Amino acid sequence: MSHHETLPAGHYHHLEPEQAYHSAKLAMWIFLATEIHLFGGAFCAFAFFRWRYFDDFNHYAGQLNWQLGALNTLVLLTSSWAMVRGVDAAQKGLNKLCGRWLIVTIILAFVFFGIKAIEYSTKLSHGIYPSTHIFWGLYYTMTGIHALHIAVGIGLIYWLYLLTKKERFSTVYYTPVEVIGLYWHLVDVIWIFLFPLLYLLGGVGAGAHH
Amino acid sequence: MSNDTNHHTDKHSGDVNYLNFEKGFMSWWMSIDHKRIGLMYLVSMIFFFAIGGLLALVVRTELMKRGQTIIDNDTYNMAFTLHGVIMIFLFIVPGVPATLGNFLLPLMIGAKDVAFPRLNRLSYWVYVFGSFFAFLAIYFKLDTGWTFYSPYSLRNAPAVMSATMAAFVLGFASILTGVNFLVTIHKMRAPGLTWDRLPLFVWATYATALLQVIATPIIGITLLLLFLENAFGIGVFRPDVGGDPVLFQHLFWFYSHPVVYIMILPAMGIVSEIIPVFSRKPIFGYKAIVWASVGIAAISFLVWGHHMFVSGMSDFVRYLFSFLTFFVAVPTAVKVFNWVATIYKGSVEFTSPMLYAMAFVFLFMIAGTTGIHLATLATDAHYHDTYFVVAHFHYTIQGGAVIGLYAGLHFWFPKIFGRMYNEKFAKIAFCLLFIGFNGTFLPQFVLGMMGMPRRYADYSTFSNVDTFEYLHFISTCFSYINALGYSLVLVNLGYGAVKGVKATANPYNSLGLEWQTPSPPPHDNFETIPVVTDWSYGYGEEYSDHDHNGNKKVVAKPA
Amino acid sequence: MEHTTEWKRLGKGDLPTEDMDTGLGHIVPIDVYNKVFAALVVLTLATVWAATLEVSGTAHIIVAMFIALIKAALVYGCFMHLLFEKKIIWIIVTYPLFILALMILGTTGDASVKRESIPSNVEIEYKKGKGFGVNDEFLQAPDVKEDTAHSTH
Repeated sequence: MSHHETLPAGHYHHLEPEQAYHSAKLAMWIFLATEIHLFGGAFCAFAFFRWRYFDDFNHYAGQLNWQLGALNTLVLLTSSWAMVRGVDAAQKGLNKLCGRWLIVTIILAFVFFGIKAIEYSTKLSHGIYPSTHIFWGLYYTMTGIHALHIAVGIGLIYWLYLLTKKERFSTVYYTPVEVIGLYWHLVDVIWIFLFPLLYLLGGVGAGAHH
Repeated sequence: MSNDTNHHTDKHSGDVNYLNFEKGFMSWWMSIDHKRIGLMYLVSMIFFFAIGGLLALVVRTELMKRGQTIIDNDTYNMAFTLHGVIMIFLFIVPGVPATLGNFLLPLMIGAKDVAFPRLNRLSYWVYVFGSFFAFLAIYFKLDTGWTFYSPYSLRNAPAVMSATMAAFVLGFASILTGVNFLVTIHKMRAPGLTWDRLPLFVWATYATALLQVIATPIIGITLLLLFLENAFGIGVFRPDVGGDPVLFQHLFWFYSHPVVYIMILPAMGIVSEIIPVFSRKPIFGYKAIVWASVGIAAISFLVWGHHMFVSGMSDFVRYLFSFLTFFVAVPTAVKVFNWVATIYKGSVEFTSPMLYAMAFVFLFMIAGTTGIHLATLATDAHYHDTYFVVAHFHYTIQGGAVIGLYAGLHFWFPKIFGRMYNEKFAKIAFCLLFIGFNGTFLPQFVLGMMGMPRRYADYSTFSNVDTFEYLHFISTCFSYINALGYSLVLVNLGYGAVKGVKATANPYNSLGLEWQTPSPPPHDNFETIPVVTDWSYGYGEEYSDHDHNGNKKVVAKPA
Repeated sequence: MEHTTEWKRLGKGDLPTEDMDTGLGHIVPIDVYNKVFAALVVLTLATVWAATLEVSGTAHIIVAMFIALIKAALVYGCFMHLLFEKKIIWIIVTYPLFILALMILGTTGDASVKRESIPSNVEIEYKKGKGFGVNDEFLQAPDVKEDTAHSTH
């Protein structure tokens, strides 16, 4: 019986490949549930204070750049699509194609970061800090935690890219790609909710209540 | 035997096992063997238990007499805060799952390890990393109480930030363990081990893992918000800018109520394992215990408001939480009934694990019934933040979870270490512990009813200070006996681990799968995965043709 | 990649465990992914357009969350392959929503409560010495004597 340390990555001496694949997926889905609970607490605090300070929240939301927010939403959606194309390529054993889609995902993630950085620096230079109002405290907190998750995601996807360079994936082994893909899609889903809650609160343009 | 395994294990009993197959510090620190990880967790946790216990003695010594006895008020605040933080986050929450859960789960389901051994190792590393932040909190003089209520927790940013960071990181370790256990139980059960044959300790671990993954992220975000409140003043908990301390309480207790079930469910699982063995009777009401375990995990999310009855919530919400809190007692009552019914007319052997298990049932009954006083709105208004609450939760946590852990440590000791401790010594230590514990906390119920508030360094301004002092003095004296009891237990177990008589594979003739391996088990647990044909409680039924559900036992051929 | 014969067959046999599975994941046709992506983009634009409508703030939130739910369902169902997953995964996905609902209702329900002090009739009962404790004397306001008072800072 070979020592467990020398088996290829992802293979344990006590799990069959199919069992390992389904176990890894189950684990990631459970982890995603924990992420929903984590962000859920922040959404809860947001709901609480929005209920209490309805008009203040509408007012401050109006100071956010909804165009940049919408652009970021599209960027993240595209990165999600690129990721799923990468997973698809890995499922078919096409390591090089997978690698390319992963690079696209990473690039789009950096674009997201860039836009976020522009937003943050503009706000800070206008003297809008986390302590300015509870709305801003929650805005920076929620988008900040989300950005942290994007950063971790970039790291993970880059690690996947390195694995594609080693031709690691095949039709019978692509678990890491799928599992990290699930994580990336969740990060996208969270932004799908964050964007309207923060940026479109109280309407924009003609429908604004600011 | 209801389980079909290789029987040549006794010949190799303890020769090459998980303790000695690799040597050296790095082989332990880098180990992915669930048994080694469980043992490392145990050693770390006993260390923190000792520190937390010393802090408790400091608190009790200070309260022994009116006025300042050994420390001033500010130091007192630090002492009870750190006692709580260390005991809860570093000891009892990792508690049974990290130690006995890690060690026993794969053995009990016939697996060679957990689903993700490297994640398991990471969970231990994260735990150790988190403990460093706890030391930092000590350095910065944390004195907010383990509940970190704002606005007081906004006045010492470095201390609160360290403590919240510690709890956040430790929570992460807890989540990793929970995920690992859930996937292990779903995916790695031996052939024939269907859900209705699962040992009750495994069911308890399953329910606990569910709570760990659902509840822990919520304390994570709550403490993260508190951290950011201290660091950047985001405003959510600061009343002077419109934030709400009661929101903090809501979010905090949304996790912290389920966490007490994370503490107690595994201990109850242990009791469910021990009682049938030493009554030589099948567990009474297996299905009821299963439903009660999972049910309590579900109901535990509905009652958090009972920690906040006097915080200024609306009447309607208080009625609702009070009503729901009465419900949460029912599953536990079902279990207590089943345990007693198991012992009834059994052939009882009063070994030290059995003594602990029976003590659990008795002490948890006291805990539960005093909990009803706290669930009732009218009495809670009087008891909230008094020593009545302190006594209640020490009965649940110490009389419940810790006694359960110790029951398990004694019961599975021969399996873990391959040696036996001194049984007579264990019984003496148990008596001291039992007497000491009850003597410490029974007077505290009276103190609470008389109005002695908790977290007060001094009670000399109260009009019945004489009675308070008398009761506190008794409580403190018994707390020393309690401490002596624990010390003796640890000395006995420690000595037994190194120098005890070598144990056989199954000294108690138990039917559990974990007892079908040598003591201590080899690194790989089982040479071939066993095939299960019945549950592990068939005492008296081992030789029958039918399983406990009345179906014919089928010996499945491994494919 | 072939697995070696050293790996023993585990968890199988004549008595299969509950969540057995055969084969690995589902492969979705690429044009399905593309169509879903296009739908997501359209829905994003729809969200922004809905925000420009002249309706109340509450209506904005409801519409925005509704569209967000549809987008999330598309991402979960198609990109995350939830539509092809077993029941247990569906339970893992939906259960947090109940917890979230519970948490949000339980706390936001408290958002409009004014934190009032103890109503005055209780204070009167206290002062009359009509306590409900074991020892009524403690309910009298104690005389703080100088020599027993403990200075705190």
